[in-house]
This record gives sequence, C-alpha cells and structure tokens, in this order.
Amino acid sequence: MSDVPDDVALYLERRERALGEARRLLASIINFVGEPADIDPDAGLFGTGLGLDSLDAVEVLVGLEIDLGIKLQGDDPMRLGLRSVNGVVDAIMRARGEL
Amino acid sequence: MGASQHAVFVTGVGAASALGTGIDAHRAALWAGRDGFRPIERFDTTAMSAHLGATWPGWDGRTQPAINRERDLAATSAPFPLHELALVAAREAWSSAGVVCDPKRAALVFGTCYGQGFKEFSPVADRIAASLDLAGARITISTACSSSTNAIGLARDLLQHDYADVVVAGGADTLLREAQAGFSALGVLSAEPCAPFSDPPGTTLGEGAGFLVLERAADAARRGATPWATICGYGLSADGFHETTPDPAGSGVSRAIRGALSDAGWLAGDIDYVSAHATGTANNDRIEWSAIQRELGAPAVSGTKGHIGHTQGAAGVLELILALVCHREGCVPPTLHFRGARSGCPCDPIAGAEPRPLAVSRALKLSAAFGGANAVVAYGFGTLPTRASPPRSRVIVTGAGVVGSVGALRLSNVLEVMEKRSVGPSQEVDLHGLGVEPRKLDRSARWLTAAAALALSDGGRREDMDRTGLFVAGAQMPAESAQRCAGSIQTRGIAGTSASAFARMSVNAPAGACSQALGLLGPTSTLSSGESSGLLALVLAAEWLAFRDDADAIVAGGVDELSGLPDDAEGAACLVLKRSRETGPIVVAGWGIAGRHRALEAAERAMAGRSVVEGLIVDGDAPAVAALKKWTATEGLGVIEASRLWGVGESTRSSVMAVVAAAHIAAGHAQSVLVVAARGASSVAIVLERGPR
Amino acid sequence: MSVAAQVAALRSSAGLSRPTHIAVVRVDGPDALDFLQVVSTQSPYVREGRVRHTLLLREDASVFADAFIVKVEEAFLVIAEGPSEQGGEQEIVAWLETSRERANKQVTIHGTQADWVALGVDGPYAWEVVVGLLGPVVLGLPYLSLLRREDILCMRAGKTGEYGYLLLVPRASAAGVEAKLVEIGAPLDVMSVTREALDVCALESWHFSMRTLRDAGFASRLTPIELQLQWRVAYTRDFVGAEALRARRTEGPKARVTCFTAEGPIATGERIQLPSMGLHVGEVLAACDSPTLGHTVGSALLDLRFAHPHLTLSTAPGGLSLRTCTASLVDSRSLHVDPHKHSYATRGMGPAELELLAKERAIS
Repeated sequence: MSDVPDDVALYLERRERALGEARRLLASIINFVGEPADIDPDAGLFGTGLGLDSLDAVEVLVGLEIDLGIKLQGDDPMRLGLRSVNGVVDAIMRARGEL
Repeated sequence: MGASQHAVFVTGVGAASALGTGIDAHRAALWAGRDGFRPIERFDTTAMSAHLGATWPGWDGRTQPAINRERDLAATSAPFPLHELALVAAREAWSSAGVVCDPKRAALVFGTCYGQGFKEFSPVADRIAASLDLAGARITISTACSSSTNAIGLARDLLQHDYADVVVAGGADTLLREAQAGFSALGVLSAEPCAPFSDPPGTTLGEGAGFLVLERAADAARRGATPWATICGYGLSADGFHETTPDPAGSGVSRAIRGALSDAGWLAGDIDYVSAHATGTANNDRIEWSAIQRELGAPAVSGTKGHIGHTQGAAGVLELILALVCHREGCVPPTLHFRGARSGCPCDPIAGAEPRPLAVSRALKLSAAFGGANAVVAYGFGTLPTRASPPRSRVIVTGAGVVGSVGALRLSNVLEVMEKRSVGPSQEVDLHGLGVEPRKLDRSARWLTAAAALALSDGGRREDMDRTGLFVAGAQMPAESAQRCAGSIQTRGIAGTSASAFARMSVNAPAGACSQALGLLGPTSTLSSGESSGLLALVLAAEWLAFRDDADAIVAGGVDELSGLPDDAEGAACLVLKRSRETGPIVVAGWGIAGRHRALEAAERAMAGRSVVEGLIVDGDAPAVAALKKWTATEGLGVIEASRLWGVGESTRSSVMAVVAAAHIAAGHAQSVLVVAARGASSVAIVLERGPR
Repeated sequence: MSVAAQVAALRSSAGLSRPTHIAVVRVDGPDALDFLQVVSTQSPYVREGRVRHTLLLREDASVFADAFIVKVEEAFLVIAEGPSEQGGEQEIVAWLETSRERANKQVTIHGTQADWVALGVDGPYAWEVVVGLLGPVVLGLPYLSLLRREDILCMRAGKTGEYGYLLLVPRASAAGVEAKLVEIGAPLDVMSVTREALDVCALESWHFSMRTLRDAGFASRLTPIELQLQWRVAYTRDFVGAEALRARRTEGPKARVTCFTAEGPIATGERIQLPSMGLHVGEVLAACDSPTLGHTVGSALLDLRFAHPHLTLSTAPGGLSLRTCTASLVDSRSLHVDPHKHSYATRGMGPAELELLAKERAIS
C-alpha cells in the first residue's frame, strides 16, 4: 500500500485484525450461523443489530478477558461504551495501545 | 369415571428444608417468625455475590469438594445425595397419610431442577419409589423452579383418570456450589436474606424436599382419612420470552392462572389467597404481581421464599406445604423481611413475622420458572363443588418431524430412511429455511426447534400460539451448554461462570428456547423419566387435549444430545397433536401409563377393548415383546422392534416409534398400530388409528 | 419550530409526528405468509405481538424499502418506507403487486391510508406520553413489539436512538387522538416534529433510514452488504434479491458505509480523499448539521480498505477535514431513562432524591 502513509497502513492492519477477533468472539456468543465476515462492524450489540441480551453482555466482557487477554474496568458493557461491534474493536485496540 | 370429576385430597404431607425436618418443625418456625438463612459453609463463596443460603440442617458439617482432574461434578455432589433429602420428606408424607394400597396402583410424580449432581433425574425417583414400594407410574418432571408445582397438578390428573389410587407428588433439590455460582453470575442473588416484594432485590438459594400424598376423596373418606386440602386443578403455560427473564407483560403467568381457574371451575373473584413465586428479584416480583392483579383483582398474596429461600425444584411443593400448615390453623403465611414495597409490588403481602388469621376456601400456588415454564395449582378447603367432566375430545396427529443423524424427515419420508440400517453423522437442519432464527439456540435447542418446526409445517397452517403447547422429553441437561459452563469455571474460576451457559443448563432449557423461537405459549412440561419419556410426553399431551379446553394443539416429543457414551445418538423427534371436532387421517385412539415392567397393563388400557391391531412397534425386552404380540394380527404390519430404528437416542426413541406408526397409517400400511415403550421408569402405550374417510 | 429545536425536543422530552412517508399496507389471503417470505430478507414469521424489522430488496439486491412486518389477527401489515421523498403507499403497493404476480401467490394487497393514520411519538419520555394515552401496559412493551388497545395499534420501534412508538389510529378518531397526545405532552415540553428532524436524529444515532439513499444517484445500487444491514438478512433463505446478494457476498464487497463528522457543511456526492496522498477513497452519501453534537454528521461510502473509524480524511477539492468514527456518537438519553423509575417531572433528580420522593408517595 505505497499510496498510503505508513501510520495509516499500520492502523488499518491492526484494525482489521481486531475486527476479526471481535467478530469471532461475538459469533461464538450468539451461536451465529454464517461467516464472521457477515457481521457488520457497526451492527449494534443489544436490542437492535446482533440482539445480545443481558446474559450475553457478561459473556462479552468475560470473552474479552479470557480469549483476548483484555481486562476492562467495570462490569456493565453498556456503560463501557460497548454498544456496537466497532465499540468492541475500539476497546480491544485501546487496551493494546493501538488507538 | 362418572359424570363429574373426582375430588382429589391431600392426605399426607412431609417436608425438610432450612427450617428443619418434619411438619412440626416447620410449624414451629412459621409461628416463631424464623427464617432458615445462614452463611454457606459447605463450599467457598468468596468469589460469589452472595454468601447466604438456606441449607438443610441435616447436612450440617458436610462439605462439597472441588472439581479437579479426578473428580467430576457427579463425584463432588456425592456428599449431598438428593434421594436422602427427598426420602426424609417422602417417608413423613407416606406414613402420615397412613394409606394402604396395592403397590401397582401407587404412583410417584417427582419434580427436580438439578437432580443428583446435575446429571441424574429419573434414577432419584426410582430410589424414592423403591423405598416406599411404589410400583405404579413413575414420572420425573424437570421444569426448573416450577417442577414440583407441575408434579402436583399431574398427580391429580393421574388420579382423575384412574392411573393410580394413590400418588406421592413433590420435589427436591440440593444447594451446590455450581448452582450458587450460576445464580451469582446471573446477578440475581441478594447479599441479604431474600425479601420478596421488597428491598434489597434479589433471591437467596435454598434446598429442601417436600411431598404430598394424594388420593381420590372417595377413597380417603372410605378409610376415614382427614384431608389437608383438596387439589382442584392446575394450569401450565410457557412465556416463550427469554431464558431467565419473564415475559414483561406477565401474559405467561396470566395464562397459567386462567388455566388453573378453568380446570377447577372457579372464577377469578373466588380466590382468597395466592402463594406467589415471589423470588425477590425485581423482574419476577413486579411482573408476577401485575399478572395476579390483572387476573384476580386483589386477593391476599404472600411469598415464603423469605422463610426457606428459593428451593428450586422443591419450591412449589414446599411453599404449598407452608401454606397448608398455616391454613390448617385458619391463617396464611406471612412474607418475611418486608420493609415497604418495591416498585410494582403489593403494598401489603401479609407483611409481618407470624402467620395472619385469614379464612381461605380457595387458593392458588403460583410458580414461574427459568425457561418460562409457569405452573399454577388451585387448591381449596371444605365442600367444593366438583366440575362436570368436559366431554372427551378427539385427538389427531397432524404432523411429525425427526432430525439428527437421519437428516430432516417428515411423515411423508420418514419410512424411507428410518427402517434401513445406515450410519452417518448428525446433519444440522437449515433453521432459516423453517422460518426460525437460530441465533442463541444451543445444540439441543436447535434439534428440538427444528423437529418441532418440521412437525408444525407438516400440518399446514400454524395454530394460534397461545393455545399451542409443548411437552418435551429430555434425559440430560443440554451437553453443549453444560460443557461451556463447566469450561468457563475451569478456565476462569468460579467468578467467571458463564451466565448464558448456566441459564441454558437445565433439562427444560431446550423446551423454553423452542417455545420462544416458535411462539408455543400454551401448556409446557419437560419430562425426564427414562427411555419411555418421549411416548409419555405424547400420552400426556393427548390426555390434556382430550379432557381440557385451554389448548388446541400440543407439540410432543423428545431431544437428545451427544454425551460421549458409546451408541450415543443425537437429534429430536416431535409430533403435533390437535384437538379436532372432525376426524383426521391419524387418530390417537387410546393410551395407557403403568409402572415399570407393566407393559401389558399400559397396553391393555391403550387398546381400550380393541382385540387386535395391525401393527406393533415396541421397545422392550423379549418377554414383553412376546406378551404384546398377542394383540397383533398375523397379516398386516407385524412387529417392529425399536432396535430396527437406528440413530435415535434415549429420549427420542419412543417419539420416533410413534412417528413411524403414524407414517405407516398415513401410507395405508395399517389401520391401527399399538406403540409400547416398555423400558423406562413407566410403561407407556398408545394406539394410533386411521381416521374414517 | 426550527429543526434544531425539534431535534432538541426529540432528544430531551419527546416529539410528535405524522409520518406520512410511512406506508401501512395490509397483506392477507391464504398465501400471505408465503408471499412475505419471498419479498422479505428476514423470515416474516413472527409471533403475535412481535414485530419483524426487515428489508425489501430489488432483484439486483439493492434496497427498495425499510420495513416492519407485523401480524394482526389473520392479516399482515407491512409498514414500510420506500425510496422516494414523498413516500406514500402507492409505490409500496405497486412494488408488492409486481412481486405478487411474479411469485404467483394468492394474496390481496391494499393500502390502508383511508382507514388509518400513523402517528409517531419519539424521545426519552415518549413512553410517558403513550402511557398517558394507552395506560401503564405500555411500560412493559419491549422493543419491536406491539399491543392493541381498543382501536389503536401501538408499535414500539423508533429510528432516532430514543424510545419510539408508532401508533396506528382509525382515521375517524385520529384528530382526537392527536389532540390528546398534545394535551398529555404539554407538561412534558413535547413538540411537533417533522420528517426532517426525525431524519437528523436517525443520522446522528446511525439508524438506517431510506433518507440516506435518497440524494446520491449511486445510492440506489447499494445492497445490505455495503449498507451494513446484513444483520437483517438471512443468507440461507430465498427472497427477491437473494441470489444477487449471495453473489456479491462471494465476490466480496468493494465499499462500506461509514459514519463521519466534520466541522463544516458537506454536500451529498462530494468526493472524499486521503488528505496527504490525494488518494480518492469514497463519496459522501448523506450529511446534515447535528444540533445535538454541534457539527456535521454524515454517512460516507468508502472503499472497504478505508471503511473504518478514526481516520482523518478530507473532501476533494474542498479540503474540508472530516473524521470517520464509531457510531453512534450520540449518548441517547433514553439509555439512562428507566420507565419504571423515572419521569419527565423528576428528570433532574438523583437516586437519593427519587427514593425520598417514592417514600413520600407511598405514604400519601
């Protein structure tokens, strides 16, 4: 990608990676039938979108911690701004210092 | 049976809980305003949100070892044998009833949420029955918190329809680490003693066992027994909303209340008292109270989980027993720890320490379970008019579905596949194609929902959902969810228990998920009674439709998931039964239930005077098969043994037998087929017949 | 009232609207369910009382309408917003009729505007207004459910990120109901709002609305994949447009809509580039001034490679800086309002004050 500045290229590479991880995590939580790539990055988690409920919300936090080694402070995903798939990706990248 | 229904009396009562052992101990505790909450000592609660529990004093000093490489959950639960707790109560009930009867005519209906170590259900019932010498029908119901309430209602049905002369009905559950961890993960436990309808919100788990001895009033009167109460009817319904949250409109609870009232022949205004489920959680209490108000106005209401905690499968029967102990002295039980009503809760749920004097002639016991299975029992005192028996309705089979290793089969193609020997892995069904969103359904739920959806589509138009029920046979908890939960504890420790996996970790969870996915909101029950459970679910469904008018159709079947045993098979099979004024191509002509090894008795009742059938499908040992052959015509379909039906598991087998019978009739191979499930806790038989053209 | 004032009302109390651009079409007949299975991306099989949020696609998989499907007694209602500005039921009815012929199904399709009027109530306290009209039963109504009260059908849906209710009222009583809503809403500072204000809120909270496809020519070819609406599609089902959609999925999309903010006004269709290299990366699909956020908010169709939040881009040749972001930017007040505990009157009070108030009420 020589048409793109290095910092942007690096960010996009890391973003794609974190997006893949978030998609796979969420797909496993909701027993998603389909490819993780079918999960829209801006799809909402609760209510509309993926339709996660309060039980799944806890799973998201636990999954982030166990599967990805990312510990977030607090225990309410809503309050942590995890409202969409991209919100989860942001949390992952922030925890890694990539954002 | 005469023109009016039999009144059914409670003639014996037994209980063991955190309040103590025996009815006298419970009476003393009630009048002392005592609750049974203590810090839990048998396992470490540091990682959990609550440290209190209502444990049985009989097990003080015992501890639950931790799971490790050598010890699985079954092993760690060994110090707390469920049958031991259950028998304490069951023996008290039996001896206090003082009943003497032919063991073959004495039945057991047992409700439990987690069984022994989350693994054994029917074997616990076997031990109880063996100890009391009950050789009649033996049924285990596992619908989480409404198990024993459902059990009481079913026991009454068994007496109504003359399957037994005496029925021991009740339930039991123990308080184990995994249950406390699961409920803690769900965020529903209170750090303080449970305060139904009040603050702080949250429940406290408990353990216990409660049993009633039930018999027909005429029999009880004949031997001079004084009843504790009359069981007048019951209602069942499914919320079909969520694994753990009740339907916010309370319509599930409403339907169950209405079902109970209609079964008892009562009006809403007749109810003097309701023993509420009242777990103490914000969701449950508010929704339950709104349903009670909507259906019944403002009867006296109280909840006794503030006394004994949430005893899970035993909750219904134990809370009913506490109420009966109070009613016997002209009182109703109070609600403990009440410090003002939580939003949406009653202002005075008999708040106070002691039972309050109140004359009660008609009352309800209400239970609302995880998975959305609601059960309401109507009971009363004094001379209560019995309802006239409703005219018996015709019951027909309108469709069937079988999924698993066999693929996805309906009545039209099941025969091509089922009777051929063939091996293959299970094939997932395209749920989207059946109009079902598979998201959030675990493996068992997907099997069951697929089979039910196939069966419903086989029959054409979908029925009115409020009036379509679901009766399911399941032998185990859903393995995938149980493994996910166990795995979460293993990798993350107790604090990391997966709430969503735990919520699906009950035998009735697949039925709840199926209700939700397909909108089956009518009566629901989950049976775990061994190999004949699938056929038993079908018979109970036929019975419900034949004699009641609060459901038009019931989907009945079974589901199995691979559990790693050899010869294991997974999948599900369902039939749709419908009440019909006109006839249909396949009529359910007769049915029977009897004790273990009593296949002939069950079959005789199903045959109902018929001398011959053109086909016999049987799951039983050689002597049973030989004896049953006497009814089979020499020409015709002959005998099909269950072993010829490949690729089906324990709970599914007897349902598949019925599907195959229905398919043969639909294909014109036989005019009538007798199906007998002779293995399992009860012997079950059904006769399917071709309807007149 | 200015759009800004209307949006403020929608975000702080509630707004009343008469969404004439939403068509309510009745579909019944023996093949009704089968027919809707064919035209809807999601299975329309829906339980009594539940609402299915779905899409109607063209054969080429582009989005024709944003629709809700509900079952009321024996018939289905398709509540849809079509591609054109005025909307209206003609275009929805015509499209359904064409599909019906092609699918050869026995159904009757008729618009209901002669019978019913649709009224909208949206906002963090919209529930309080609707409770005033229909009673406390509304409190328990979950998202995407409906209830019937006398002649009024009340559906909880909403595309603003706040509580939102769509009421279907018999034409004869519509004026009366509307007046009643205004009366109930008066102490709650409820305002009448237009479609424009609702569209602004939709864009602010990143709710898909047909508005985003209205202005840009290339938009009419966008499929659910580019539009991030795959969550409303069931790939294993067959419906109008399914084949084309599956083909697009297999070959892989080339672009995706992405949320962005900018400091100045931006027009639809403006080209977007990576500022340092002048590399063209996409176009603006829709944009508006957000009174809530105080700057421009919009949706851009970007090359897949760049369709991610937190990128600084600019318009070309204008050179106006814009930044992609994680939607939604608006922290909807509704997320913090619990109908069982709160009310507009006590909206400023903290938990301690609320508890005190509740105690006082209990005593009196």
